[in-house]
Amino acid sequence: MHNFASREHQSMAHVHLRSLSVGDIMTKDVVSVHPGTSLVDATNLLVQHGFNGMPVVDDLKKLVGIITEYDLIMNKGPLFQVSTFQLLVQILPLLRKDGRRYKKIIDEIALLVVAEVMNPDPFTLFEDATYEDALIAFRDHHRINPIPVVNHEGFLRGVISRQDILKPLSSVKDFSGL
Amino acid sequence: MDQCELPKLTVKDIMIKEIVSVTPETPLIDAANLLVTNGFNGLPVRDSEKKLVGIITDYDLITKKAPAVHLPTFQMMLLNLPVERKDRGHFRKIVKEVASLTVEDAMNTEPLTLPDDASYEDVLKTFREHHRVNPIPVINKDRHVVGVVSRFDILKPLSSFRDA
Repeated sequence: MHNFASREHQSMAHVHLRSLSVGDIMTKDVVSVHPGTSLVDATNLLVQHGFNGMPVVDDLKKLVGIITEYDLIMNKGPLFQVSTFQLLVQILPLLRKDGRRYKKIIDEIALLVVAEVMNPDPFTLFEDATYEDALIAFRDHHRINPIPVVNHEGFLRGVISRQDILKPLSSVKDFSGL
Repeated sequence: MDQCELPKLTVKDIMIKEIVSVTPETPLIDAANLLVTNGFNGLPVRDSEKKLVGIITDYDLITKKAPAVHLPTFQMMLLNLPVERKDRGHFRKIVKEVASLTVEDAMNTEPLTLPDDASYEDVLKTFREHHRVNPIPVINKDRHVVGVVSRFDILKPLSSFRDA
């Protein structure tokens, strides 16, 4: 029984089956931002799309960083104090009525850009990495999600998230008719 | 930053009250489906009395041995199924095995929670101190889930700043 199983494994690995690469399962239609993008706009993109993070690229689409919701929450700069977040929640409804009162903090927040909060040295995968490389990367780096995918010249080619890794599991039902 | 006249915010002001949850008996593949289709990082697990008994996250599904060990096989199946009839016996066995897994096999049974009277400051601090945890179930004194709070809920005010 054991021999039978291992023989089958061998044939799967070496003869019949092609394995997926990161390039096959990544999202190619990437939403990215620029280091100079306002932090308010970047946060908006994260929240609207439900992304955990976005790659940051320069004008030539070379990867220069990643910005994640985690980075935004962890940032302890003066404008990221608990009181600022809390104040924002509370004053937003009042802003239209009484904008002048909070002008200073509003101006400061509007001037923040992605470069101030991004991680400039993100973990990346090459597009020719295997599905298993990606699985191991997500397993070993629990903070990392998503992972920008680059070519060997460092240009952004796509992005891969835990959701992309789990897609095969979520489509198991499609195999029930096997 | 004059805020003396503003009332103190609590977790109730920012949490999501429409809770998508699973039970320990929910098939694992259904939980994976809910995570992928809704773009959630995690789901609270409730028993038949609606009490919190755990949480299941995308990270659990990638790291816990039971489902994760089969992920590479499944991705190969997705790619090769139309042409490969020969290996179907093997695949069928794995599909059956994974289809029989339930949330209980991969969930975290001691999830971090927040009480429903936690302050906004408590919420932010909790996310900062527990970087693996997202989302966090909000429970009342009877351990009933009254909401779920995620990192997005912290960031929403910043994101809607432009509209104001």
